[in-house]
Amino acid sequence: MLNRINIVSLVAGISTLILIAISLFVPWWQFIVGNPTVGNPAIATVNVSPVNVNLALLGDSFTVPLIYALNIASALTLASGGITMLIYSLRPNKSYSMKLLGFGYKKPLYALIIFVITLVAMSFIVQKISGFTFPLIGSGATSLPRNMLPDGANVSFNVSAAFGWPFYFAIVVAGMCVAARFYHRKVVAIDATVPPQPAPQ
Amino acid sequence: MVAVLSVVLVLISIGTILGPVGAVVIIYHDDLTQLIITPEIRDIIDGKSSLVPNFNQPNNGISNNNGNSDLGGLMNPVFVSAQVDEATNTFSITFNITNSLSYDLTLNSFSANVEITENYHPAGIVSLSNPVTVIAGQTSQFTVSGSWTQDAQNYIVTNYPGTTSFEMYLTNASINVNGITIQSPGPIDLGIIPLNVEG
Repeated sequence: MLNRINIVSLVAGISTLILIAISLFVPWWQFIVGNPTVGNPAIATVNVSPVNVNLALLGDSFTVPLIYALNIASALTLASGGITMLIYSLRPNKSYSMKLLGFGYKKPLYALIIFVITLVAMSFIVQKISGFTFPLIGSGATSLPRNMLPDGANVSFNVSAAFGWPFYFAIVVAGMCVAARFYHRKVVAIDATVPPQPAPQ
Repeated sequence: MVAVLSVVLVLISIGTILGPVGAVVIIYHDDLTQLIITPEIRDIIDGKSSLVPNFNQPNNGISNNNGNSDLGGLMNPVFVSAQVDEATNTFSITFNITNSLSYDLTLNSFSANVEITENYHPAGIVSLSNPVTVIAGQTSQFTVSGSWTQDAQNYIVTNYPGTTSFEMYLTNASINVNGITIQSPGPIDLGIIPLNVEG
């Protein structure tokens, strides 16, 4: 039997591992408070990716333990998906291949969906609980909720938010993983039509 | 083979999530609220953080009895000197300002009305002369300029002859620090200001 490779899965698996590495350093979504200048960072920044959430306030960053644990969980989950995609891509026609593919191809897609849902939910929850509104994309001026301040006081500042290029790369990776699932049928179909090699005399 | 692989994959799925989450739960099992509410967040919630403006609280905001103050908790100005030009009814006050944060702060603007606490009589206005940047952990000087009204001068001469100090406060204060604009209708207690007004 020919030892075929699911090239789409191979690329998707490698891309998944690259995505993890990139997401550790470059956020999928960034929220900035204030007007950062050269040599002086923003008053507050929130850098979010499934594998790294970084909160910085006036130059000091702090970590929320539960979020940190979920980041590690997400990184491990994505890594396991990427590795199984790689293993599958080298042996796409074994009896266990479908199990590996089924395990791996969903991980980036799940990460992407959960990331978007979490972001939208957080925006909604923060707005409902504190009254503080912020954009998911774009910039503008906003104010602290009145209930956080003394009577009549007002604290206003500029905020901006944007999705980073790794977010769009994640969409591509998730798309490739799904494509690898469909390409599997083609690989299997090709194998089924290839006549067995005659045994050497 | 396939069955074993299925079990292994399920265990990986569970382990990759439960492992890290379980680890932090064990680490913080004494106080599980610390999983989400870190000491930094706790300070902000409790209003203990220097990041939270604290206008209008007794002896906070821009207030105390020696002309010193803390601008909403972000900076700590200390009175240095004052100059008065009685011919033009203007004055300027110089402060040393200390940035206790690990972050450079730029005081872009500051303005407020000054009122005499007794009877809430308007006394004049104050504003920042020039923007000032205070490097993290360092001290810089800044100057606040102001003017008093002839009406205020007449009021003091008429009602408080011989009085050499007055308790004053700020109203409608507006501060812009690093692009963040903080506005407070006040009153913000200035403490007792030495003032010698002659008719």
